[in-house]
Amino acid sequence: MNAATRRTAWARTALVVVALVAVWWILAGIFADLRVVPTPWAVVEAIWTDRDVYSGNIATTLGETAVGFLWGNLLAIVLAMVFVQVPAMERLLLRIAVASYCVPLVAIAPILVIVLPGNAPKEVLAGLSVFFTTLTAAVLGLRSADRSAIELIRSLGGGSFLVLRKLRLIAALPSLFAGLKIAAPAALLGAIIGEYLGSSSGLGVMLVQAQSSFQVPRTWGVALVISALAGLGYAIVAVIARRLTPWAAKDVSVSVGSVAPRVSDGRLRALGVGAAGVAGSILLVVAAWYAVIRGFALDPYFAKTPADVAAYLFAGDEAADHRHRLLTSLATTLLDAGVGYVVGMVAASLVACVLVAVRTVEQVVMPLAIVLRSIPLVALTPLLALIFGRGLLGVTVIVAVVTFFATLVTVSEGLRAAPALACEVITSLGGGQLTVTRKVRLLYALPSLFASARIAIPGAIAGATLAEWLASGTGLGSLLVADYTASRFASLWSGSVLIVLVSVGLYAIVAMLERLVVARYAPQRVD
Amino acid sequence: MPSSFSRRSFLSGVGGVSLLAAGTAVLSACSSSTSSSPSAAAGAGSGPVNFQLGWIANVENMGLFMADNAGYFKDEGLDVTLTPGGPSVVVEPLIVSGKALVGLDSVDTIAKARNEGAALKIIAATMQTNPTAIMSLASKPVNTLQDLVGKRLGMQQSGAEIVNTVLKANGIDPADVTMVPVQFDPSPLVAGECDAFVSLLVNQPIQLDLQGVKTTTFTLSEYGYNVWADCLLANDQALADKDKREQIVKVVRASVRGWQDALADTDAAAKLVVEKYGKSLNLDLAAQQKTAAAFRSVIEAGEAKTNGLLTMSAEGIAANITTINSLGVKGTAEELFDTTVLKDAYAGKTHI
Repeated sequence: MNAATRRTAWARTALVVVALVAVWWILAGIFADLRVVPTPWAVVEAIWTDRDVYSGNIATTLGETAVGFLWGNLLAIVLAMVFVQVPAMERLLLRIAVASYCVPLVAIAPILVIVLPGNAPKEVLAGLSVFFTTLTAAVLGLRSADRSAIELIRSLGGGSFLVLRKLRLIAALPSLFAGLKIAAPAALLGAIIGEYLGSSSGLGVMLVQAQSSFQVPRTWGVALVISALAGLGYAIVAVIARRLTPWAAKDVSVSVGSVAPRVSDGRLRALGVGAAGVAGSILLVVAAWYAVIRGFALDPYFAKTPADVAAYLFAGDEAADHRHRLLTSLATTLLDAGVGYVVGMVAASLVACVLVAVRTVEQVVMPLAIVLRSIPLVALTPLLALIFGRGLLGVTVIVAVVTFFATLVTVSEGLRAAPALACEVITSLGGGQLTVTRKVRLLYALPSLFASARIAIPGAIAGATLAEWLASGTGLGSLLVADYTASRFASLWSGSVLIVLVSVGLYAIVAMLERLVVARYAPQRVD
Repeated sequence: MPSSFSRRSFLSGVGGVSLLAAGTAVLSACSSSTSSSPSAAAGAGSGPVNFQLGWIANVENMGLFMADNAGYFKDEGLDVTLTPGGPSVVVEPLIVSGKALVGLDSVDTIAKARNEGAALKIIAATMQTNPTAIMSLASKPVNTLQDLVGKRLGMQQSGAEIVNTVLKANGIDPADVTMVPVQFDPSPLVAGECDAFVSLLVNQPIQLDLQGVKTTTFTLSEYGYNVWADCLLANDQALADKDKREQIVKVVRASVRGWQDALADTDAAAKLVVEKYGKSLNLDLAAQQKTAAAFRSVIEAGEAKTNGLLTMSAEGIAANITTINSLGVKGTAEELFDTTVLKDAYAGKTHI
C-alpha cells in the first residue's frame, strides 16, 4: 500500500466512525424518552468520570482473559495436531469438544467454583469460550495442506510427522489465525461472564453494578471499553497474521476437506469404527463424570451422576412426567436454535461474500460484529428485546448474534483462500468481484462454510438457551434456570445432558452432509 | 461459551453472603484460600475464614464490611477475607460442599434446597421483613396485587414460581398477568416494555429516583410472602463439629456487631463501602447512603428490634414455616432452623 492509498483508507475509517457516531446520536434523540440509549457525549462523560477505576478493572479482566486465551488455544492447537495425526482420537474426542461448547453453564458453574481455587473458574470459562472454535479452525487449517505436496513427501518415504512439520503447520496458519481472531473477543466475553460468578473487580463487575443501578451512560461506557479491548485483541491477531502469513489469500494452494476422513475400506467396517467411536466417547464422558464427582467428593445434592440422570429420566412413576417436561421444552429450544442458526448462518455468509468482494465494507461490519460478540448478552438483551420483542424474532436475533461473528470470520477466511489465479481468470474475462465470489470463491470456501456450520450448531443451541432465559422465558433455557434456583439439580443435569446429546447429534449430521457435499463438488479434496 | 445465568436468589434479593471457609473444605487438595496471612490466634474455632459475599460490594453487605473494618473478626481470632460475589454466585452447593462455612439466602430457597437433599440449617436472619417489591412508574402506577391483572410484569425466571404462588394465594390467576423475563437491569420498566417490575424495596426504587425516575412500590410481604431474607446458613456437618461450630458462632457474633455499628450510623457505613470495599466500582455516595438508610427498615424490624439484630424468635420461625408451607414448600422448624448459634453468640444479651 502506498502513502496515498493508506491516507484514503484512514480517511474512510474516520468517515465511518463519524457516520456511526452520527447514527448513534440520532437514535439517542429518537429514544430519549425511553432512556435506554444515552448520547455519545453522556457516555464519554461517564468514561471520563470513571477514568480512575478503569485501569484496575481492565487489568483484572485482561489477566483472566489472557490466561484463558493462552491455555484454551494451546490445548486446542495441540489437540488439533493429535486429531490430524491420529484420526481415531478425533473419533473419540471430538464429540467431547463439541459438548464443551454447549454444556449449559448452570450445570457446571457450581462445580467449577467448588473444585477450582481463586480466579481459576473465570480463566476456565475464558478458555472454554475459545477452545472449540480454535480446535475447529486448527483442524481445518492442518487438513488444508496441498494434497499433491503431501503425496510427494509420502512417495519419497516421508512419514506423517514430516508432513505435519513441513506442510501442515504452515498450511494451517491462515485458518488458525482466523480462529484466533474469533478467540480474542470470545475469551474476553468468557472472562466477563466468569466475573458474574463473583469478583471484587473487573469490567464484568462494573457492568453489573451499572446495570443494576440504572446508570445507563456508565453501562454503555463499560460496554464500549469492553468492545474496544476486544477489537484491539482482534487487531493484534490480525496484524500478527498479516506478518506471519503474507501469502494468505494470494497463493495458489488448494484447501482440502476439514472433517476426519471416513474409513475407506468397506461400509460395514466404517459403521463399526463409527459405533466404536460413539461408544468410546460415551464411556470416556461417563468415566470422567464419575471421576470428578468421586474425586472431589462432591455432594450428591447438586452433583448428579449419570446413574442419577438415568434414574430421573427412566426410573419410577414420575419418570414419564420428567421426560415430558424436558422434551416439550427441548422442542421449543430446537425451534429457536434452528431458526436462529439458519438466519445467523445465511446472514453471516452473505455479509462475508460482500466483505470479500468489497473490502471497505469490512471497516463498518467488523467493529459492529466485534461489539455484538464481546458484550455479554445480559447487558445487550434489554436493548435487543426492546427493538425486536421477546418472541421468535427477538430470540432469533439473539441466536444470530451468538453465531454471527464466528461464521463471518471463518467464511470470509475461506472465501479469501481461493487461488488468486482462478480469481484472475474470471476478472480477466470481464467478471466482477461478485462473479468471482459466485464462481470460484464459494467452491473453495466449502470446507470453511461447513466448518462454520459445525461451529454454529453448538453455538446456536447455547444461544437459544441464553435467549430463552433472557428474553422469551420459554424452552429449556428458561426451565433450567428455574430448576437451578429451586435446587432441582436432577432435572437440571438431565436437561443439560439432553442439550449436549442433541448438539453432538446435530453436529454429526452436518459433518455427514459435509462429506457428501465435498465429495460431490470437490472430490479431490477428501484426503 | 456464550452463556451465563440468573442471579441466584432474586427473592432473597440482595443475594447471599456465603462465607468461604477455605481450610475447612473436604476437597482440601483443590480448594485454596485467597487469604494469605496465617490465622491470627490459636485455639478452637480460630483460623482463616474466607467470606464470599453474594453480591458485588455495596451497602447490601455493609454490616460485614463494618465488622471487617473494625477488626471484629480479628477480635474473635478469625482471619477473614471478604470476597464479593456476583449475579451467578451459587450459595447452597458452596455451603454443602464445605468450601463455604456460612452463606446467605432466603428461607424458602434454603428450604427447597433442603428438600432436594442439601443438609443445611438457617442459623440467623438478617432481613426480618422481606424486601421483595413490585415497582411501577409513578406516572402509570400499579398500587396493589390486584392491579396487576391484565398488566405486564417484569421478573427474573428464578422468581416466577414464588410470584405465581403469591398471585394464586390472593385469588389471581397467574395467566392473567403477562410475565416479561428480565434481569437485574430495570430499564425494561423505564422503557415501557413492562408495567411493573419485581425489585427490592431497598434498592432499585432508590436508584431510579436518583436518576430522576419516580416510582410506586408495594411489597409482596403485604400479600403473604414474608419470609426472612439474607438468612445465614451453614451445613449440618459443620454445626455438629465442635471447632467449626465455634467458628460459626464467632462469625455470627462479629457479624451482629458489624450490623449494630452499620445501623447506628448508616451514612458512615455507606461511606466505608464507597471508599474502601467498593472502591473499584466508583459507587455513588448519595445513592449508597439512601440505600443504606432504607436497609435499616428491613433489618431493624419486628422482634429483632427488641431481641437483637439477626435473631430468630420462635413466633417468627413459625410464621416463616407457615408461609413456605402455603407456598407449597415442605419444611418444619426443627429441620430448617438452628437457634443455638445465636443463643451462644448473644449469651443472654440483646446487644453485643
